[in-house]
Amino acid sequence: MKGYKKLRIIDKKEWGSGYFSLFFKDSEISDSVFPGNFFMIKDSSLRSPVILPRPFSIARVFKDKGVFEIFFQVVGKGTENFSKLKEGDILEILGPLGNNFPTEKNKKIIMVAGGRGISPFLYLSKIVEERGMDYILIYGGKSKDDIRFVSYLNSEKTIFVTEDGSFGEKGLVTEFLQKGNFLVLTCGPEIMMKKIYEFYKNTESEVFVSLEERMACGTGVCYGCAKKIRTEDGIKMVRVCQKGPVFNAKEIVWDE
Amino acid sequence: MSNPNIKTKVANLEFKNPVIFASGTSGYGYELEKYIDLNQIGGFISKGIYYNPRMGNESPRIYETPCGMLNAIGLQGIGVKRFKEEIIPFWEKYDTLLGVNVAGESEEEYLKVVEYLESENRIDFFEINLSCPNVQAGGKSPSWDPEKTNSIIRGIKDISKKHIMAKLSPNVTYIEEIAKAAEEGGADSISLVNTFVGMSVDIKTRKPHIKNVFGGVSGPAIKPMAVALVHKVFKAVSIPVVGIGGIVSAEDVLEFIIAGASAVQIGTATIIDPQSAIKIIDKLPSLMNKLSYDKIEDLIGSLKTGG
Repeated sequence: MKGYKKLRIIDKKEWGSGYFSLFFKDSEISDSVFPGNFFMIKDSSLRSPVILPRPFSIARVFKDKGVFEIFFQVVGKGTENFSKLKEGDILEILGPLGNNFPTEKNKKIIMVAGGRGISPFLYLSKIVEERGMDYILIYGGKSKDDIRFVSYLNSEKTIFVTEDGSFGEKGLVTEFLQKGNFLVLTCGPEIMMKKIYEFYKNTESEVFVSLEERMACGTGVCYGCAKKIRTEDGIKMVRVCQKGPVFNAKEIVWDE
Repeated sequence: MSNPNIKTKVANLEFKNPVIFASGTSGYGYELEKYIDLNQIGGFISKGIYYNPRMGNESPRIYETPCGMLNAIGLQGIGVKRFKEEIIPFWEKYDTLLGVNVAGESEEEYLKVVEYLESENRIDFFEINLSCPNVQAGGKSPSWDPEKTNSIIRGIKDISKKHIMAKLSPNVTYIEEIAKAAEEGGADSISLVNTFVGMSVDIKTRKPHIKNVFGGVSGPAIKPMAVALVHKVFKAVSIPVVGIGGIVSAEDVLEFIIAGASAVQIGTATIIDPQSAIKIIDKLPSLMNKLSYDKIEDLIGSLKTGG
């Protein structure tokens, strides 16, 4: 039965400002993964003071080469440890796990990414482009240091936004949303996703969000990553790793 | 190379191997089905169950602490009705010993849970979670009080023919007294330890790392304390002891067994990797060979002191 897989870091990229990418080669994963899916990754070597795995969204996928990328920002001890690893180091990876972003709604897709929330849209923008689907990507950050992958993304389809105006448009991503009947997909800070949900709340558009809840197991055994969700049986604490990480925004009980 | 015998007994319960999945860190079992063969494990104890479904605490519920983790899930659970309808049928296809962790907000609730599930033949034993906060007693847990412990176990023994395992909290002054109270109440075995009360603060926001403020610490960080408490209880009672606390390797299993445990439970290790227990079970025979041990049962409480 499938469990954690030992994979070698085949390449590493330091983007600066605490952003990193790690690249792995595994065609089974690169063939089966879809944007929205996540992995639990751990370092069980003695070099690591961290014992629990950490969840990471899939970033870019180079299917022809069997290569996939994990893009992250250092936010704590787990990510700090991963940021210090080098090409050739081995990590243990479980996944792909979780559900994925929907695409087949016959509607124009608006993807909205905040900071490291760009991860799932790197691959998703390529997939929808290949399928000839209409989309735009609104990608925002605090400053130019939070905007990456500029040459990888289709400049005709992407609106770059920074709060300080140091790159692309000045402002917040929520100022660049369009009213209409869209399929809106978003990943980023919860406050941003909530504002996007509120913007589209009484329209025909559907909003799907990828939640970033703290996780311990990723397999459903610990109930650590639960979030308040509206279900058929009323409001429940639902495990993000089991029913998500992608949820219809209207099912989420947003924090006040 | 001989083939060491890794079977073990906890009173009338005969386990294929000494590794039991601890309550609260293994879900209801179905979550693990795609990662492991549930027939290979020694035993399984399902997530703690109250009579009615429970929502549990708000998030964040977990935080990693040095060599361990802090959790305050709040005993989210599906209640006895759904447990009977959905979980018991799932376990019919496996022969692994199945325990149900029984929770209660009051003495009556523990009894109601046991009464509801007593007739289910697939359930081999009840583990009584004595660490639940008692609502009527202002949040006090029965595991802090020998009289409460005794009366809950006694009440359950009166209505149940199944093996009763009393699960103790380490957050007490004198654990031997609580263990003896459970034994006098008629417990068939004692499992320990549940988590240690802990707390962790974000110094930037000055907020606790978990919403509930307090949580339970588990993982390798608590192992030495757990081994000590297992040994103390082993010396104090004559019923079998099941050791719990930070076990992540076959070496850890033997350490608990030598200190007095007849079997062990694996908790946080399953959160780290759903296959941890299987890896530990696979390694036990070769480790025993290396140390020239033939039988798990010969090692129970075989600690050598002095000399």
